[in-house]
Amino acid sequence: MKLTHEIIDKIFVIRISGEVDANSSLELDKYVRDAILKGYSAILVNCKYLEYISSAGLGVFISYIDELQNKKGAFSFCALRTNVFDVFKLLGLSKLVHIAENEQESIDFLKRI
Amino acid sequence: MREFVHNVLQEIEISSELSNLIILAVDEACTNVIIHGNNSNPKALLKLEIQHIKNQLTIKVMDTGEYTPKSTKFDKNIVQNCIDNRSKGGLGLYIMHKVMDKVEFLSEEKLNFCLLSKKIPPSII
Repeated sequence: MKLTHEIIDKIFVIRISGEVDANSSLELDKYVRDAILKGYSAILVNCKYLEYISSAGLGVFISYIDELQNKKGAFSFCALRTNVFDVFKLLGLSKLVHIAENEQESIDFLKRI
Repeated sequence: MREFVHNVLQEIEISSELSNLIILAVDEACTNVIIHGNNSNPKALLKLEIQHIKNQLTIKVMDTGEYTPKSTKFDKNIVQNCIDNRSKGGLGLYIMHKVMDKVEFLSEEKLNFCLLSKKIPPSII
């Protein structure tokens, strides 16, 4: 797994590539945790190059949903591959978080909240 | 492990969507065994067996660890509970139950078994 980030209009944009499982989820957790500690509550997760994610990875995001909502923020996920979207659907996450086709759509959503 | 399961499932005529979900369910089962059953001990062993007989897929995850799941039942509220409690636990078991037809945990003479079963419909020709 590889994580990179960029700040766009006060939105913390995380780009994930590779696979997120129980092993790599620890690094992802720290990444998201650090973003929130730095004051970011609008977090965009670009999944264009995300090939696989297990419950450990999605659990990272799930565990921060409430905290972001309390700070009037949110996650937005974009460019999900079919197999990744299927896991979101399985957990019912597709109804609980914002999902967009592309990064611009996610940015537009996060700017409005 | 995921690659192993993928290669085995390729020999069965199932959709890539179902194959990906089964790989995920097995990953979740193995992760639970490794982390909770064996405290992530790199020396502990896990055995994975996959059988496909008469449209019934059975996957057996075996180990000799101390894993006793707090609950083996399907908890439909687990995702909302994790959001409310800001936690991550229990999602793997939830996925296993959602993907597979049956999830069983057994122990026999110091051997633990996690059995995942799924009826694989015959392929349409």
